[in-house]
Amino acid sequence: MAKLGAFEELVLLSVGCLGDGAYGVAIKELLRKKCKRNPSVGALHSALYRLEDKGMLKSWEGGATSARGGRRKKFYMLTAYGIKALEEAHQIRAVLSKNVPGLNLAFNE
Amino acid sequence: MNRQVPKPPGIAEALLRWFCSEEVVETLLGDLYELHGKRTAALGKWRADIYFFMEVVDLFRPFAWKKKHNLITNYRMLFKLSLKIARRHFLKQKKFTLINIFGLTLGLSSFLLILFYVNHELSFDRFHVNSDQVFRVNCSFQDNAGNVTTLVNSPPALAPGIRGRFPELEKISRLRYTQNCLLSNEGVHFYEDRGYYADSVFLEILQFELLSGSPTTALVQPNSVVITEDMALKYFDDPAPLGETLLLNNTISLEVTGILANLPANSHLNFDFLISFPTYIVPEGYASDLSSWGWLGFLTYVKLQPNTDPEQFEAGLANYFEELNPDDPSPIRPIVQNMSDIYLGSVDMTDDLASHIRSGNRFSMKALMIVAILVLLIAGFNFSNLSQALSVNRSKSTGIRKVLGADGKSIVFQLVIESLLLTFFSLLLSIGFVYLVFPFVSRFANWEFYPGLIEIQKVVPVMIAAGIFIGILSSFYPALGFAKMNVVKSLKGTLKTETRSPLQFKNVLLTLQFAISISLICASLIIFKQINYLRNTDTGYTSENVVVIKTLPEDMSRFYKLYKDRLVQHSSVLQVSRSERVIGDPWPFSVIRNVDEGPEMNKRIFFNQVDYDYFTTMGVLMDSGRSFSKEYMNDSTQAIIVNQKAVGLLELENPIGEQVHFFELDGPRTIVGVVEDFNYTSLHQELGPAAIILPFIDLEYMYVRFHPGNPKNQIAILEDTWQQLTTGTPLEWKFMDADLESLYHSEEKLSSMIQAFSILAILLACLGLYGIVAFMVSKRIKEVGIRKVLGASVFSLYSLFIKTYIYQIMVATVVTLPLTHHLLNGWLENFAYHIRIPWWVYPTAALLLTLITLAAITFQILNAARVNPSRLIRQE
Repeated sequence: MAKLGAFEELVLLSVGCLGDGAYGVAIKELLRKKCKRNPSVGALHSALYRLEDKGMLKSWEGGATSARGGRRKKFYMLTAYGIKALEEAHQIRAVLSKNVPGLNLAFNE
Repeated sequence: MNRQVPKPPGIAEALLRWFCSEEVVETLLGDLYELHGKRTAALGKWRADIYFFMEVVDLFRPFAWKKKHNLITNYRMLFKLSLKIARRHFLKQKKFTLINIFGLTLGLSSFLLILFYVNHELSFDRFHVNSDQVFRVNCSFQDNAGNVTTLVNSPPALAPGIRGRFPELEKISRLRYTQNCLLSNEGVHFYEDRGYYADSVFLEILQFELLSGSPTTALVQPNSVVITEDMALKYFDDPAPLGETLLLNNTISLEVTGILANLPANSHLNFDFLISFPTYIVPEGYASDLSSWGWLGFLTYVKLQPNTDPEQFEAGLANYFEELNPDDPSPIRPIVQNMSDIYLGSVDMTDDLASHIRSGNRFSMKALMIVAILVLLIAGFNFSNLSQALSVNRSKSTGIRKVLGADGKSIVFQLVIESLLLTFFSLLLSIGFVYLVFPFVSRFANWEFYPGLIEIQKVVPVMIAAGIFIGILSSFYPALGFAKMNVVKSLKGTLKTETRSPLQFKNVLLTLQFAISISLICASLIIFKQINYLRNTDTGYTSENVVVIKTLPEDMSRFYKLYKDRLVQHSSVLQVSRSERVIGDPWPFSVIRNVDEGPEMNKRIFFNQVDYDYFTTMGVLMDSGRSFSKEYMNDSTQAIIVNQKAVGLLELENPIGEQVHFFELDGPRTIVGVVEDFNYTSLHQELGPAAIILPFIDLEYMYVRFHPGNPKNQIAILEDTWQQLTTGTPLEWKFMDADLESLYHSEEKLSSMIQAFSILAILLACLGLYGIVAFMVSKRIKEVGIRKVLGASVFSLYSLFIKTYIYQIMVATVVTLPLTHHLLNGWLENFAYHIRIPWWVYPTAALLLTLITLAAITFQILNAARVNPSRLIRQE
């Protein structure tokens, strides 16, 4: 299994959350709102291309809007491999976290 | 959201588009625009723009960069493929490949030959250690009429006079030409005229390689001689005869104190031996001695301290000359000339002693270089034209290569590779060819050098550069044509190469080739005519049937009268006389003025010392007055004969009987006769005023005029009579007309070289044309058939093909005319006496070229035009 960086993991998760609406600006806003991250366009797209190269994401072209100057959106979705990578990353964390004494793993929405 | 989309800064977008690959730029811009819209709403236009700009800068990341190639290419494979295609193409088009290789080989060979020659010319005297510090002191002299004469010579007092006077002067040495002298060693004796008397430091200034002996001491003692290895073998049959003795003129013994390696061919000084200067005795009768500052009969070489400004030294020297003789109204002005400039930079200077100094001509060198480049260009044009014509045949393969994804660059690359392959193959051939023909060419052109390893090392990079240049130049334009070719048309085979535009690249090149050919034909014609003119001009003397005899001045003074008396008894001998200088050598000059004028009116005049009967021997006619005669006792000291130019110079109406001051010698002399202007030097120089007097020193040259007859008998008479008088001193003779031939030797050399290259250039141009016409005929063969069926005659078909070339030749003539005319006039101006370029030269050249062109292409056209049309049309 290829290595997965922390930021890459967040991007993968965001793509998964957004479902059919996962394209550059949407991902960026989600990361800002939910993850307290504000990546630049360059940083985000560089991660997206990298993940696509690794085979964890696949993309397709969507419709154009006037807000984009008539340009198409590039949508992303998780591949099976991408999902597997996320699960594995989560597994590793869970195992490690469980062995840390005094760590509160309670989950609140 | 605002429906009106705010426009982000265009410059940022342009920047992004510049570095960003096309695949990602649209997605990125879409996101950026969307964000920009939102930011404008939230933060205002200005801050949104700033963000936009920063985002763009931040996007300068590897993933967004333009990729160099879309395809993953394997260069080694591609290169191998190129080579394979090239080989197949060459083999398929054998005829055109051969034409190209032949042309390029000839072009490169001539370029290589000329490169060796130019390299040799430029290498003169640079082999000396510290040659940038060594200079020759020339002297220039201006008379009050403004005539400037520059001599390579300087006065004998200069070297001892300024030694130690200038801090920048390190060493200074004189040379005195030995003129003709007799050297002997126990029965081995020869006349030698390539020697100098040299000061002791000479070999420290010009460090010619000494095989034995010391450069500091070899020339110190009187009666020492340093000889070259060749001469050592000639006299002693021993390469190192140190301490042996040579006898000079049968009187002075010289001890061999040093052996020089044979002098390199690129040394302007060309001597076989050096005698120590203290041995030199000023001959009896000379008006000057070694303390003279006015006797310009020596060569002076100086070595300056490193980093000295030669102009400063020259100015200091000029001041010193003026101080020496403050009252002289026409002082001698010293000119300091660097060693490396002497060979090519002394065209306008004369050597007063006519010693064996080699002198080159920058003009000839440049002319040959230009011609060689032109020949090379013609070969390049051939390649260019033929590849363009052949592109039709290759259009299908090119089309397929394009469909399979070859981009413009790789198509261009293919042709450039082919061209470079051919060029470098031809380069190798031409190196071999030059190696074979060099001995013949150098004998033909009278070159004295043979290229060694150093020369080859110098020339090879230039040749490689020339090869790359000509290879790329000649393939680039046709390659662009290939690259731009329409794929669909080329695959369907409907591509047309023959556009009707006269400015088609191929036609431009052909016209250029014709223009170059015409210029070269014109140049050959004019140079040939000029040399003919020089040879046939009425020089005012008759050189046929005259033998020039050279002996030692001492022998001459001893035996001349007796010898002459015996010779004139022979019925075949017409007249005998002698003189100081031969016709054709530069004559020395002095000053002359009317008797009632002061020295400030001194005018420059050339002079010669001659004996009785000189004018009748040389066939020079008297204009008025009489020749020197024994009946007048005072003739030898008080009479002078001048030419018509001198009469004009002195502004005399009735010159006979007028008195003049000449040479600042003795008293005034009386003009007893005026001779017609005869050309006493070469026709390069304008005939100047000349004075002739009876001798005051021993004369070297003797002339014998015979009745027309068998030359062998004539020489026999001379030899026999001489041997009866003397005891074994050899006699040196030559026929005057044969000797004078050598006057225009360098022009003849240039002429024959240019003629050879013109023929080569025309041959190459015709070869290229032959190739193109062969191709054209094969492409239009069906048209020929149809025309024949419709009733066209062979002649009309013929004219159909040739008319383009006739037009091109006409255009070429007009285009090249001004430049050619200008250049040829420039060359002719080198001669004081030259032809005017006749108008018919240009049409003749054009006609000649037309005939040659037609000869090259007629056969193919007629062949095609005579074939049965049914065969032509059926061909599919």
